Amino acid sequence: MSEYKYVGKRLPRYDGMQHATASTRFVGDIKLPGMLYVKSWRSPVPSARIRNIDISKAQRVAGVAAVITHKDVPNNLVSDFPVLAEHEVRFMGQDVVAVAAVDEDTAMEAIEQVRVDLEEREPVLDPFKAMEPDSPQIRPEGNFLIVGNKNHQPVRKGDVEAGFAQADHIIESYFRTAAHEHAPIETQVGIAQTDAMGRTHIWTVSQAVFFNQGDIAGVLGVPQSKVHMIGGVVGGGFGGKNNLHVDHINAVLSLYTNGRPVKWVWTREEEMIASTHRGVAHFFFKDGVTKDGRIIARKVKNVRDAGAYAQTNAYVIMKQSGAVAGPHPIPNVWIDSYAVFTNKRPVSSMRGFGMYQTSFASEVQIERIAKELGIDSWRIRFINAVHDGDRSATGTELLACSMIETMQLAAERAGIVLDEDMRAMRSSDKREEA
Amino acid sequence: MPQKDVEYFAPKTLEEALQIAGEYGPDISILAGGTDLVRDMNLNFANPKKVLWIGNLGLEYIKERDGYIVIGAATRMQTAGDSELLKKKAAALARAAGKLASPPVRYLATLGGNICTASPAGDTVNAMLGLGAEVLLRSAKGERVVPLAEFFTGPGETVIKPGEILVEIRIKPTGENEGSAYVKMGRRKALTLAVLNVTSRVKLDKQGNCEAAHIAIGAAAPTPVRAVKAEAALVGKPFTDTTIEEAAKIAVTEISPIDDVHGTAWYRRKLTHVFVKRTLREAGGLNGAE
Amino acid sequence: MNYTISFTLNGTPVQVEAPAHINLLTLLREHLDVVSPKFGCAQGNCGACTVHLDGEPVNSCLVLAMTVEGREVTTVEGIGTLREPHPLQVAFYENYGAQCGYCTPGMIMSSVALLQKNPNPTRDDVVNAIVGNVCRCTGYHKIVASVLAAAEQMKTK
Repeated sequence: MSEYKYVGKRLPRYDGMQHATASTRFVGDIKLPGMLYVKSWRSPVPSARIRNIDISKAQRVAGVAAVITHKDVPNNLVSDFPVLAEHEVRFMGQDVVAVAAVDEDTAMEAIEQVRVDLEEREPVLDPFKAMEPDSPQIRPEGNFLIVGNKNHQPVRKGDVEAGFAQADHIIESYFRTAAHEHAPIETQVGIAQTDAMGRTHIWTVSQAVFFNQGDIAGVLGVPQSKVHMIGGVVGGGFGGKNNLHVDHINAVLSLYTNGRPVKWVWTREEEMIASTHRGVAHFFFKDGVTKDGRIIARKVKNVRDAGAYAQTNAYVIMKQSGAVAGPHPIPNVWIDSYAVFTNKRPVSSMRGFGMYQTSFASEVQIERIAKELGIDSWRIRFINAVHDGDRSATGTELLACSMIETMQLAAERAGIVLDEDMRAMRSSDKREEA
Repeated sequence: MPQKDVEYFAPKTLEEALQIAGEYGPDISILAGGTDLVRDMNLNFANPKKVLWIGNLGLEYIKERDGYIVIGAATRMQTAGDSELLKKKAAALARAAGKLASPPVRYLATLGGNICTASPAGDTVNAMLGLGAEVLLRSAKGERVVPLAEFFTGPGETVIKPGEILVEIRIKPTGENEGSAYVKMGRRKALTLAVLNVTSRVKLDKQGNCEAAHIAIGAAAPTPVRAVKAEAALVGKPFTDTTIEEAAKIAVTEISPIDDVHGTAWYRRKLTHVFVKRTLREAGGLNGAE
Repeated sequence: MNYTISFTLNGTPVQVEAPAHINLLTLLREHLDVVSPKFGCAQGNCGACTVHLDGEPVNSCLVLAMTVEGREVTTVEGIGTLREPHPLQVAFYENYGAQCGYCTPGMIMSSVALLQKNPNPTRDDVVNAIVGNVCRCTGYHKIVASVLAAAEQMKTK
């Protein structure tokens, strides 16, 4: 076998020395001639109707180059999310007005001169309350994310009630995972500049440069070729820099600053309050298990606190509804995954993008099953491991499975000696029909 | 709104500083390390029009004078934490200062600043209160010495008058058969506000009776607390597990904790009981952890 | 109202005009174009802004810029460069001490301060020295390994 140059080698990071000598240029380090600084007016309350926005005093502050509201945005909606709020605010911290000024202090001064008349409404903060028929409706489309023609994402396999009837044990659990904020050390930051040919250049920290490019082009009402994204240097993202935060608002502002670039650096407070977070997930499990430890029926109701806007919620509950049945060939499955809107900051991706929540739930559930039945943690998983040819909860035929082999290798590396029968198992074994 | 046009003073003598402080009174903010004031300015919580920095006044010292340990108000946490004199004769303070926040904060933050910020949860405030410290306040008109036990009037509020500057802290060093101890519960191991902190200072006579006791409890009331009833229950009696337990129980009745994001009142009461016992034992030189 | 602040920056005397309300981080980044110290929180909680003031590690966001008059400020640019890196910087490169690189300047300043004070640190010493520098990417193991490797390297030099 010839010696490889790169494969199997420990290679240094190509940007390692750059980082160590602080020569990496992050977006926040970039300064351009004539650059202006951005601040926004944010809703201090979680739910309110906007009756009036008065920016006249803000516009007159010396050193202010531009003040924009929804009126100044060519196309103010990205899916269901306004670039700048128009009729209402649906979460505390939502952007309503943006200012570009000669420095941050002046921008802050201008923001303090903005007057927004809000008619406060009772916020809906509990997704279960939001699911009740008499709850205030957060959106005209209602508080449920509609999937097809349903208010949830369903997964159906077999006959779950028949499965429960056949089972020797019923194990019910409730799980809840917390909301998380990515808290990258670099906060949301971006620079935008629209040149004399109408092309907008955006220095971005986005993790989803091309998704965002498309959305920004839509906001500006221009072809994608008119939006130039300059990205790739990010001070930590973890999923928190997938959605639009500063780039679209900066891009709009840059239309009104006569070619001067605008830069927006979020404070840590803004990051904590208004940036996308990982969403809270609630799981209600009911499993039917035979006395020899096989899960033969699983029913799960999953409620995702979806925050105020659609964002990526459909994607998450689609994933969660498939994954929460676990890597197990359960013959009878009934999953209902809900995304329910509340008056909170939008939720979106974070490391696993919905899978951290389902893995937590299904893994703790199988531990409870193991405890209830007095079966060892490893064995319960071998008993319930997927084999080649099994069908997932959504009906996909699974091939080239490796759960069994992975567990065997993990045990070996952890110095755990599994029983002979577990060591002898293979994913390719044909399963006896139940 | 951020204050532009801030006027800055960095006098080189105390006399000059006192004269400036006297002239502007409540309109001037006294800057020590900046870990509270500059942070507040960063976050738009404070917008002073005038700032006086005490960094050039020779107020960084730790030494013994006339039977006291005297500490300049601008002495930094890291210095106090490293001080052999404090470790030996005011151990609770060296402990509290040496672990406060994080190294980059400790090289800026000052003991005087911690006292003047007057948070009920202040770590070195707790240690100095438990050691029985007094502070020297000076103004252009004169000076006065105030025991720390009489210094705090509310959260963030003190008896300092406009025109006065806290310049020195005085602590009676612990001697033979005397010791001090400090313990703090935080939600993590560094850069964390106290959920509760306790300092005890104990002096025993040759028979093992308690001659003097100080117990200070922080983050458990609107001001830092001296558990005077618990202290009185110890003095003149043998210093034993029984009297320590009794004092700890009494100390719990002398605090008025609340539920907040850092902890519950219930938990603070539990911690007070445990920490008062623990620090009394350590300060009194009793062998074996509880 | 602007003041003139004169101080030594990475060994070179500098003079800059600035208002009195700004902190040292802003002075360095906005007025002097020294961008190695980073903005992370403005509260002294993340350490991304760590520099040396008279040789001691401090959060530059908590230093009122005016107070550095006549004093010495050191940033990563004064520790080493791509051409002549400090052994600690080489150690960060060889031991994967950086991922996104944003916390790295602060880590370097805190670690250099440690090694100047204690050339033979234990693992605990390193952890305690960087406790004020938050990293969200690495989980810290490789950062500690980098500092220990540098200490080892610098001893044999």
